[in-house]
Amino acid sequence: MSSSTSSSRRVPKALLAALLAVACVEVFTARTASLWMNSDALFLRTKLQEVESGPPVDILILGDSQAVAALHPDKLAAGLPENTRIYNFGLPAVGPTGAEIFLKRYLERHPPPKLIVVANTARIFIEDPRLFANYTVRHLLNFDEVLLAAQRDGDFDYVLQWLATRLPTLRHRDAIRTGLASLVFDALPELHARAWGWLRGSLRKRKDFEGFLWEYTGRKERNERYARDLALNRGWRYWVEVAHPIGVLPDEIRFVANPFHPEPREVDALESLLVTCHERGIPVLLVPLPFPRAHADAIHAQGGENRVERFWSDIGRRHPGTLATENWILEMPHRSFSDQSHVNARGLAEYTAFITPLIANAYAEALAR
Amino acid sequence: MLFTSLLFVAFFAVVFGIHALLPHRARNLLLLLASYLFYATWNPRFLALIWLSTAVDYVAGRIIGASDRASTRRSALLVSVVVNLSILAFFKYYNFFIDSLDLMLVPFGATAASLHLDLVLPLGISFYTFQTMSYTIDVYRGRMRPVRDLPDFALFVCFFPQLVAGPIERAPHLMPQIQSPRRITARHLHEGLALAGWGVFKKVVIADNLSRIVDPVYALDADPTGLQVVVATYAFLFQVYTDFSSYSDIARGTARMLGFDLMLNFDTPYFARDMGEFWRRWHISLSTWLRDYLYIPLGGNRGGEIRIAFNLFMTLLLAGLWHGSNGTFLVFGAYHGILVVIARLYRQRWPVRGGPIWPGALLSMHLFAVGLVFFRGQTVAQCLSLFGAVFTDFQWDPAGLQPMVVVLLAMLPILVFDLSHRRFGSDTFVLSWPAPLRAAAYFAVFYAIVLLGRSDGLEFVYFQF
Repeated sequence: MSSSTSSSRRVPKALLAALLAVACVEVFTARTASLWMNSDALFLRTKLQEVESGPPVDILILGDSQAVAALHPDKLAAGLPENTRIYNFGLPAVGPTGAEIFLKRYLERHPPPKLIVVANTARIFIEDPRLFANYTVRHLLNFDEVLLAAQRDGDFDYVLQWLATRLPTLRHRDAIRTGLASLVFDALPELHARAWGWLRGSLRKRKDFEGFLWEYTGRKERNERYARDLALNRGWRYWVEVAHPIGVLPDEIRFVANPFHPEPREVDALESLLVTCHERGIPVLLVPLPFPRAHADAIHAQGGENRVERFWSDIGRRHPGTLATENWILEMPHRSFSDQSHVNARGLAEYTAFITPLIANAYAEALAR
Repeated sequence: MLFTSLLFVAFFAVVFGIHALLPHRARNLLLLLASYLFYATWNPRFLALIWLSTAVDYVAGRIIGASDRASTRRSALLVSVVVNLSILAFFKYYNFFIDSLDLMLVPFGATAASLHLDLVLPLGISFYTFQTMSYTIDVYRGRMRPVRDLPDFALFVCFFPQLVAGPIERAPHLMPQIQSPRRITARHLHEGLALAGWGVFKKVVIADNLSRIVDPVYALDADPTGLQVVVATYAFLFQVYTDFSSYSDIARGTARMLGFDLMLNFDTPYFARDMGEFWRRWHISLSTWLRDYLYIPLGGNRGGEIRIAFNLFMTLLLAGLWHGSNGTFLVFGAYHGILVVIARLYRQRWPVRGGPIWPGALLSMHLFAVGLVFFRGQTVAQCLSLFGAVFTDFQWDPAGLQPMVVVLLAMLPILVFDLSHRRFGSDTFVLSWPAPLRAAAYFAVFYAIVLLGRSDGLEFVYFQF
């Protein structure tokens, strides 16, 4: 080896002191992670804790936030045999890729459920393929899960980003930034008013300004809510809020539907999930989630229903007995939605009435097998 | 693979680790392979151009070194210059030429539009072409002996820290470092880390955040007020400096950790007393290249004042065109050519005799800012409309000045750093600070990068050249 390293007393002293200070900040941030987590991260962490520490379940539901809102275990349980244990493992913005990862995680720790319900709208298949890779909660996943997602994505940088999020301050940097701003603005409200004025004058787009406003006021409210949630029930209340959202989607809302071109990675993940379940002998039921009427109209306007039906019938042909229905564009009136995607309490009741018999039948067949 | 990406951090860590374990000869081979891999992550097809330049200049250098006949030497040099400039001209200026021709043919009812090609500009072509060409010229001029070892020469052409955006190294400076065994000391590592860390800070914390102010105003479909143009141009004044100098800093820092010493590319340019001095401090590797291989061959300071002025003007005009095949860069170059000529005439009449530097520095900085409108603008028409907005649609509003707060905040660390750089005569002055102060500086820079840096991987401004 031709290189050598000379010693210098001053060099390590400053570097070590800086590293020590960084380590202190990182440990502090890690210890107080609950304060910095965003709602998605908190939600996933809570769910993972539930899954890892809770008892095995009979029916496992996988899906996105719409599935969380529309498939409430307590409501479904009323139409199923007594003592059926149902767990909704749905997570915001998680399509089949995420569902597959979480299913594997569940199966590593528990015996197979008697039935798996996968609930996704057609929309999740046409989202940005990197959606899951960019998911804000990725740091909570295991390395092998991350590697799998990166392999699917062909995006090695994703693994590096996951490694970077081992650093707690980097992981929670958005929350820390807005949190620090909140600390300053909470202490100096007049400065907040002035900053508001500055931004109003300098930002050309109103939505940027509104974004800033949320960061301050939203952050403050959220911190208080998290503190309550964490003290009471480890954030589970957030789930309840998602499952029973309030509000009504206005009638005049119109949608622009993108052409239905299923993202290959998401389709592959769904296929892989179905194959895994088949190999393990776990029955799967694929169920549609409801659309607001205007959204369904937008799909019909461009002839998208044919593409959607063809896609699901192909899935049904390759995996017989998995489809709950042939109607995959399930329309419901706007009054049943709290926003453009999620059902409200009225929508929950209507959808539960529709879906419970289908799940009950599939569950009965699963028990009979 | 951006310098500020995690992928580059992982790449460099692997290269650095293996490099430390190898003997000298194997180290160079490792760096050569790593450099090709680094370039291939953008577009492996364009490696062929690097190989072509490498082969032509290696052979040309050997022929020039081996021959005593002037005509053979001249022919070899000519082949090298023609091949390199042809590659550069084809990829960078062909479409500019065709589009200009098309415009000229309009009055005659003809068109050359069908000759327009969809060309992708190979990354770093302006940098490595100039670097490899300078080697052949230096061999021809007898300033250095031709390199015998092909891998060593290939590494000189494509050394990854400075391959895509400089500094444009000279063979007499870099080749001996490649050829001789390198001794890497703790001082190398410390300086390298300090330079690279500071570079990352300038890029992701300052330059990328300032781009939020600049980009909307300079978008082609934007219709900004004069005040917004002024504010965005001031923001760009610091964005372009921090962006480009950050690349040089990271390049020098990573090279330093591998035992190399790359040339300083920016020497506090915003403290220049006039535009002549500015160009001796800004993008030094390009301006000295143009001085040695263009200005001096044109006649340099020899001849009458008109001849010298012409030489200066042509050099700066070509410096502008080096940046890109666009009318805006032509105007940028011509504008600077005129300013440098004026600065020379002014200094002849009123030579510098001490006194404060700030009046000249402020004037130079503002003159540079005016020229940056053409540097950042995408078409000459857009630049003229931006100037038009300043003079006819200013729309004064104190609230509109608020982004200047961000600009001033961004300026502050740069000002402190550059002042210290001048005072201590080195950009690694931080190493002479007391340990607690250094530790605090490392801590602050680290958390500024983590918490304030933009992580969406904006490319370096100079990658387009």
